Amino acid sequence: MKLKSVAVLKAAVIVCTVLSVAVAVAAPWIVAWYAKIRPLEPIMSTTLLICYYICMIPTLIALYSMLRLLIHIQKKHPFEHIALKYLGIISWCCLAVAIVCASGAYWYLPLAFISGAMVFLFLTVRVVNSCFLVGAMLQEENDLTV
Amino acid sequence: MPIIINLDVVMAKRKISSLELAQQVGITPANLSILKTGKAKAIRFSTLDKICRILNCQPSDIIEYKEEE
Repeated sequence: MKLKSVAVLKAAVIVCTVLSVAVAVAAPWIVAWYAKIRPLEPIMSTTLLICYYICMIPTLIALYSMLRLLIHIQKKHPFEHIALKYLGIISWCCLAVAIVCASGAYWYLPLAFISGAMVFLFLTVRVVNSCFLVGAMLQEENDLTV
Repeated sequence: MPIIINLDVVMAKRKISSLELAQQVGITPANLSILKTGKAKAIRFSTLDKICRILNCQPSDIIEYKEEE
């Protein structure tokens, strides 16, 4: 069985990384343009910029972890403990983004919605991580069955 | 675990090497080593059947239960 979807996901992760970096470079102009079409107070645009740049760190870490995890899945070793470690990193990165956005929501309220979405994503990834943990235990038992 | 594997004792009595037994049973030497060292979590009936047939012994000669103190 060919894992075509994994290859597509890998390409999507790389595209997302490139887009994130591109948006980071263009962020001051994007925020300035947004401030023109929607009335934004200077504190709001500053908050948006600061939150985006802080969130870039966990985002890039999560994207790198996703890529490593997909490589493990492609090698047909998804239930190794290192794969679980990557899932854990992704979930904590989601929580980090949620915390940053929640802090920024004090100055720019729409960030609260992103924060809520990231908390939901954090919980989802933790549930998947628990499933993978059971899978890793079953895999270990299978490997040690003679 | 209170299950003890005495495979090496039976192998020594029958004067058969690990490589030879692994080849005859049809498992890898690495898997036989897992079984001999007691790291195995389970043993298939088919594997046990082949081992008993090749070593001309009973499962109880290979697997022993010792109560933990």
